[in-house]
Amino acid sequence: MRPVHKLMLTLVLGVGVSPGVGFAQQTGTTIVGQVTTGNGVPLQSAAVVVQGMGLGGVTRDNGRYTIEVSAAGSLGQQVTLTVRLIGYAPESVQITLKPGTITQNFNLKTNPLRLGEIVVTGAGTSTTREKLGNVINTVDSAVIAKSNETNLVNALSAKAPGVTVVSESGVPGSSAYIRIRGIKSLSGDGQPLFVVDGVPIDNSTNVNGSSLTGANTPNRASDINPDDIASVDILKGAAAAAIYGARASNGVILITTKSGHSGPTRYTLSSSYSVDDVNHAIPLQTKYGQGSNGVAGACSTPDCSAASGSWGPALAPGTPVYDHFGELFHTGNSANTHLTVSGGNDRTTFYASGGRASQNGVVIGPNNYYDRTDARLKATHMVFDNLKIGGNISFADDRGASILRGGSVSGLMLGGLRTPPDFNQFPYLSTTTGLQRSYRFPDPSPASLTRSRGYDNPLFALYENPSTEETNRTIANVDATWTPKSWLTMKENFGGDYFGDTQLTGESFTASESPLGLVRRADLMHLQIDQNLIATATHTFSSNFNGSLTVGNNVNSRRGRELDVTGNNLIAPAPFTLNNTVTQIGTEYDYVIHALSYFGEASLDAYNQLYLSAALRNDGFSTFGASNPRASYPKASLAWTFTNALGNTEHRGLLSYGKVRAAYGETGKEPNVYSTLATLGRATFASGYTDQLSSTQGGYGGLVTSGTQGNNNLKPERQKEFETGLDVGLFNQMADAGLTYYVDNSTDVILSVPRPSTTGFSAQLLNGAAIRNKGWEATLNVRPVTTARLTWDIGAQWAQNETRVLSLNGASYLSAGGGTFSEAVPSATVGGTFAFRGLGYVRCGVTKSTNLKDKAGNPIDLATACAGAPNGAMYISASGFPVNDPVNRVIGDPNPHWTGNLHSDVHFGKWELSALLDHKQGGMVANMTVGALNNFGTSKVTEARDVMRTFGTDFMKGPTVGPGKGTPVSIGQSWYTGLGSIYSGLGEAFMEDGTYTKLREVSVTYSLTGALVQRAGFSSADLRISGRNLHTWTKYTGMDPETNLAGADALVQGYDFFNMPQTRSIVFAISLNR
Amino acid sequence: MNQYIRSAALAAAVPVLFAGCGNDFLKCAECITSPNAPTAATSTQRLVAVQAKLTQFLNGNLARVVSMWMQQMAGTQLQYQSQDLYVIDGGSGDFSMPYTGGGLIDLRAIEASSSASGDKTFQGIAQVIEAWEIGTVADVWGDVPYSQAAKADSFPTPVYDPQKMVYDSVLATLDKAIANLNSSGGVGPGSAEIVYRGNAALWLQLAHTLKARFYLHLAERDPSNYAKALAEANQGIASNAADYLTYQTSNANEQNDWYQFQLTGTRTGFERAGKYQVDLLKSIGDPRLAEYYQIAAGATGYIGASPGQDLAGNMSNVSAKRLAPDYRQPLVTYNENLLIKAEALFKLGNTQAALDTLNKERAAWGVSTPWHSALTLTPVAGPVALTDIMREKYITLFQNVEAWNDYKRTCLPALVPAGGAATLPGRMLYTNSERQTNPNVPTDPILNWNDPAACGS
Repeated sequence: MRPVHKLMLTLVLGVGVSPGVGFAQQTGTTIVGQVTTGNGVPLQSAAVVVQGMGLGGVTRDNGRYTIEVSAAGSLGQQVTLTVRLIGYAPESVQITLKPGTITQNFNLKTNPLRLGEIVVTGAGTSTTREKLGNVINTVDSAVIAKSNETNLVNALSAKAPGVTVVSESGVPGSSAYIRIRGIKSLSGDGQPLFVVDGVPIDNSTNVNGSSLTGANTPNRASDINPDDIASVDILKGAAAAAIYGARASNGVILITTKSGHSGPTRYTLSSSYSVDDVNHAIPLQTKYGQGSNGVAGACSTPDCSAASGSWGPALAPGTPVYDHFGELFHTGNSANTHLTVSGGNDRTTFYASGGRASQNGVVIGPNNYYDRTDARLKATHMVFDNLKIGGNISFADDRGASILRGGSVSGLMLGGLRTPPDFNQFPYLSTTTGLQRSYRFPDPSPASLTRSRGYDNPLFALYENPSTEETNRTIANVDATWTPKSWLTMKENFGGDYFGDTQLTGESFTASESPLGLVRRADLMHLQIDQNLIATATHTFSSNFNGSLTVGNNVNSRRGRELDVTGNNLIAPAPFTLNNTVTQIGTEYDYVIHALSYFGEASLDAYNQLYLSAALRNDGFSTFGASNPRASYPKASLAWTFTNALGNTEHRGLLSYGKVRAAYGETGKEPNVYSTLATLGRATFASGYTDQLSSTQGGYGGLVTSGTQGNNNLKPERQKEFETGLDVGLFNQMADAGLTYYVDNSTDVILSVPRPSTTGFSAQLLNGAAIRNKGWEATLNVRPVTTARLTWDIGAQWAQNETRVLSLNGASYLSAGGGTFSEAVPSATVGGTFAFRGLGYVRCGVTKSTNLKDKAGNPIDLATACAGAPNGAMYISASGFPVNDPVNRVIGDPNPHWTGNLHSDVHFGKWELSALLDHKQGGMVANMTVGALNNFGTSKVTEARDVMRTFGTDFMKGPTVGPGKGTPVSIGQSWYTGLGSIYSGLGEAFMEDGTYTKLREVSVTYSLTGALVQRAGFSSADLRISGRNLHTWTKYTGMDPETNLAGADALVQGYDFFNMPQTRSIVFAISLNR
Repeated sequence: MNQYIRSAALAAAVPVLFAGCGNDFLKCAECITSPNAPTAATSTQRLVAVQAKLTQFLNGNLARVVSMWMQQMAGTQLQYQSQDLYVIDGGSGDFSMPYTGGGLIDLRAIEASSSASGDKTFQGIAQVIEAWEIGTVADVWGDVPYSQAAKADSFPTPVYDPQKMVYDSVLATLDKAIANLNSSGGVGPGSAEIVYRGNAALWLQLAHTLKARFYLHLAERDPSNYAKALAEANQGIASNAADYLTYQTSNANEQNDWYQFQLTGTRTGFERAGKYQVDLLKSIGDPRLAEYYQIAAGATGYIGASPGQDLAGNMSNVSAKRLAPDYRQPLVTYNENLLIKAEALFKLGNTQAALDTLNKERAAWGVSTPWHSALTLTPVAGPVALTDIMREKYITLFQNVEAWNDYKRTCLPALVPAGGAATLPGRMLYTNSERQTNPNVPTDPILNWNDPAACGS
């Protein structure tokens, strides 16, 4: 077997196996050694660096490293050898370089507070963690790998306090949303800027068609393979992110990809396979059939339309019923393979990788997959001893297929879950005519080829209405670091981010959304080019004072194009191409944004305990109004390690480490491109109803002045954030804790202000609104056991944020962001927050309407009825039913009260066991899915129908007032389709508490390093079994409270309307290292 | 040392790569002008849109509501039922239409551009439409912005000019239009002007008829305006060939609003024939009964609905001719011009000439035009009464907003207000969006200044 293994490995890796030979010259110096813990356990992946020479190596599984120094470099000089490893305190020793072999071993102390570790702080700048005056959370590769997520954003879920991740759904190619410290604007999606190796990249989510009905599309940061990521630094507040100026209002996600290190070439082949299934179904009733008012509503003549609801008679015993949820899903799977080869010599390093992730989703049928194939090459070369150049290029090819969602009548869930239990969806094509049959259109004749089915049979939607997407992405950069003097470093980074995205949705004849058939194409292109040049000077004033000064320049260009063409009326049933349609309507959207910025940052370290930093960025963006072409963003921070002042520099004792910090910073949000301009356009004139005339008449093109007045004074929105906090280490660093308070005032927030139409305009964009976010973040980590064989870590994170809308330029509320549907409109309300707004029931202290009447027309004396009643008590009219309040109001607050997580790792010999629990407390989810199903009589709750219930007591429990208080009423079709229906606009009843606790991750890893593995040609092998989202504890009655219909393309999250389900997974992973 | 020089050169080259960057970089053409929408338009492109919007303003929702109040039509479902019973709010966007894109803001742009280029014909045409639209806004809403309207940079919240001042300005604008059109300067829009195909002589006639119309609107306050109206009407539209008809075709987005509303939209049952006019035409044996209405399915004759009556199968709809998608709606016609003359002559005491002019208008119906078939109307025998003239004008102005203006002045024909109300509405309410954004919006009065007395029972 052995030779076969070796041969296979050789073939797989495609390179000759000659580890250890390297590129060393015989007359040079070879530095070798082992890095271990204080207990002698070998440490792998520790970076050993010869300071000032740009040379280094990384330890292997056995903790050993090798550094080759050329003869030219071995001049007998004294150099500093430093070893760094995440989680351990860095160590440095002085050695003398002379030809031959030098052995230098290191014993590393654990460094749970990660003091001395390098943190990337921005555009080419970095510092060490203890000097930070503001919070930067770092997520390293091991943590990302353990999450087993293919979408990088999902991998960040529950990794940092105050960083919220919402996964749209569990189907392949879904988007994931990330938000840091609350909503700070009224426009955009509120997500942070993503930067990869210094190059800003696009993380948009571009749904073909409406984000409420179109097929799911990933957020574009998912083009990055998480296996290639070395670390993610999250710049949370304005103080941390100020260096990114007018693009950093929502924080910055700094991604550093893996690099090669000098030394023997390393190979890693990792492979994982996961099985996925739907984590929670929506319960449906199986006792009543199609119909209305207890009368059967099925029909059987050709082309008849059957009842849409399941309010028919009770099904006779023995009537076959079908599981309309379960029949749409099966067990999905995904496979992920990733190969890396990395290494280098004294002047050159390289990292090459290739990967393939194939996900086959949980939805049955051929149109639910997402595949990503990617490759990367990163290399550095020391041209001269003081000049290093590098390059990094990655390419990803994504291909996926998905199904129309949400509100689409040609989508999966809407028609599927509304189907009466006694209707068999199979076969979805009539056996006699071959045309679509659905529960509302059960018997299609040949004449019905172009007729709507009301709602599509979900199987038809699965097989006949496919949506596909292909994306090609390249992110690349070249950089140069020049150190002309020991105190001066200049860095240049030039990079680009490009993707082309081709999307296609086809709807076949009889599709209810477009019975004549449809082809919808979207072609997107995005290109971003970024140039960043910085110079950093450091100076040691005295043994107690040293400082640095950085100045820089950034040039950025973004351009993009989107072409959307809808072809209506298929000619032949296939193929889905615009050439096969009768008419085509196209729209085009292009943009170009240029930015030219300068920045400077100064820092001063005093007495090895006081760290001051100040910075200023000045931005010029083409998106700013012509009168305000530039804007400046300052920041300043102070950190004081007071335990050093107390003489405790060795981190011992009860209070082993302590730091207080405070920071202030400002960031901005540029206006949307071209929003300062007044333009003209085509128009359609309508006067209130369905009649309309085009501005183009008789073949003559007509143009009108657009309704939005230009505004040359438009400035970027500005976030002013102050944060302060405390970090402590306790009991000889056995435990550590951090606490942060922040308050962020967003001013000059841009909103569309209505204008008197007699000015000729209907609206103008103004810097007129103000929003405040404030909150607390806390972390606590404890390491109760740290022995050679056993270590146990346990940690908790907690965050609480409050978003308040302070002003809307005089308006009392404003609809903001996507996710709108029916009457539940996410709105910002002055004094309130971003919330769902819609109709609700008359309630004490909540209802502001006057002249209320009940259904019988009797006036309601709310003041009298509510005397002494608690706020929110529901008014019950004499009939025993509540009364609807005709005025829209805030009916649900989607913002969580707090979020937190609990994680634990146990290492026992070669075993590692870890678990992560994620909790969201509060935050309403608009459960319009169940709201709609109640109306149609298919939800489980409607199985109890025509039963006597008393409001407040055993139905919609809570305090009640009014003349009908305590009067039992019959709850059935009339309630669910009337006063209790979302189609009466009454969303209040379906605002549900979205509290959940999820077992995000649990994994068991076993590391093999023994003879068996080595005989097979490997140095080590890791085996892991993980569970992802294995269990969710929640009272939410829909599928999953972690959901959002519009995905990552929406400012306000938490809208559930026939969303795709979430999944849970079990992952088997193996990683072979050599 | 050589090494250092080389590396210095390399590093120095980097900033040089970006030496072109600067303010020019931020002001790149695609950066500061939208590639997605034009920032400039020709007068012709604006005019095409302006004429379409004029049609939508005068033949859309406003005409439908006025037709109900004039009981030529009746509201038979939901919102139209309540509007027929005078339940109105400020929810309608009709008020904004003459001001926003395709309205005054673009007319002012056309005028500025044609004035600069010396195209007096073009300028004159734009001025006629401006006066027509703003005059109509004054007819319906009374005090309205004009002097400060569509000048957003100078007047972010335009004041509401008194109605009299608006009419005076509108008449002055028409005088300027007439002077420009008479000068024969410039080439004008040519056939891109989709109604008169750029014919300045026809625009000149329209301008005079509009002047006559607005003088009549001032006559209840000041009878001296009858003479002025007569003088203008004498120079007004001189034949049916000069009628201003809406431009409509069977193409999508060029179809008559009545066709769209009554037949293809989602509110096809919201209006039916009005009982008053159906019964009136029946009682006088007027052939315009079949011209305007159709026999209802499920009925043998023409049946109109009372105001706010629920939709029933036996109610007559508008005739197939007038519900054709390409039916061109008459907005200002030779017939109206004759009837303005007839009324003015009558008021000036020249009753024989008034009778002759009335019968000339009735005779004109004998020749088919794009908007009606050839119909034989018997001449009215003398002596003529104002009711004869106003009844004829009421019938002629079927579905035309001007019928309401006539009614408010003359209280003719003697309509019984709907739903037991004492009077018919004298105006529409200012639109809510304007009230929320412009502190200058006056309190809604019951009647406009030019209409001192309400009509009713």
